[in-house]
Amino acid sequence: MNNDFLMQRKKPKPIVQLQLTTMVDLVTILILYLLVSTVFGVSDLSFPPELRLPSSLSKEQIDSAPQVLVYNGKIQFSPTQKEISLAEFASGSGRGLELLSEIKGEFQSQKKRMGKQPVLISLIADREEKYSVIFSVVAQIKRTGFDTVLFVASGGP
Amino acid sequence: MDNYDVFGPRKKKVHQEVNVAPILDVMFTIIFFLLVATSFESFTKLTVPPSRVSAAPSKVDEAPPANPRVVVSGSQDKLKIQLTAGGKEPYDQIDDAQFEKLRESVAKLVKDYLDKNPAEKTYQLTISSDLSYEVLVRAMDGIRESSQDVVLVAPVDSIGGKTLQESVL
Repeated sequence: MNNDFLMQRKKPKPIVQLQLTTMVDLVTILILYLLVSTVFGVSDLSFPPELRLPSSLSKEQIDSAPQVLVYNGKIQFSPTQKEISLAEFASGSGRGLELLSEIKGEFQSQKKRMGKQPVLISLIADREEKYSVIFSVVAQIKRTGFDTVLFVASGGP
Repeated sequence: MDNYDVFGPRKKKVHQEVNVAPILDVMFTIIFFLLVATSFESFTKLTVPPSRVSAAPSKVDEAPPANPRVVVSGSQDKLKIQLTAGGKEPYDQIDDAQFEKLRESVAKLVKDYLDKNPAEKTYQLTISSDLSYEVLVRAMDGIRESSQDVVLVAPVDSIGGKTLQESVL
């Protein structure tokens, strides 16, 4: 037996090769899928995870615009991150007046950049927010000069 | 010279292989970037158009615009939808609309009106002050199936005493 062992030739080691072609195919398909499904620019929207947006069947894409967040009895303006209570904002005096002048300042700087194009502002609010609150906020915003208010909603029914 | 080479010793074929390793590296980097950057939830928007001044009708016999208005009132469980168009009495109404079917109900009212009055392009919308933002968005969706031009009006229960200028956005 020992002699047989000595006589045996060493078998050539099989060369293990990775089949990369199929892998590349899969990866390319994955990349194409992600490129198509990715919505760039939505990261501009920031709101608390507890906030539930209303759903809409509208097919319009989100535009980049400064945002006003109405949530939990407070209002926040994204460019300055200033947050005050809705009561203060509705009163239009004190901190409410400060925020309104900040919104107006933002409108004027946007107007310079946009020229004749409409100046947009996004409104993000919880789906359970009362219409009286929504209307008064939109009315105040429109007084600062913004032409068009975009109501942000989640797509689908 | 080349002809002599034909009879010379054969050259060994060189196997050229594509080096896929760096391609894979780049692709995986792209995948990670896209996975991080992707937002699978889709967002949309509803635009409230800027206010406009309408031109006077060119012909004397042309009917003035009736400013059709969709009014949603009641409670979330039992909604009342009215479409008014100038007159004291509503042009059409649905008394017991369901919240889930609000879009379809509003769309039907507006479409019926638009079929008979194709010149009306702008629709006003108002809902009760205590109704939710979701009701507003659904009603807007319903109108926008027929007309893209929606103008928000102050809550239906707070218009009293205000001029049209104050109550329309």
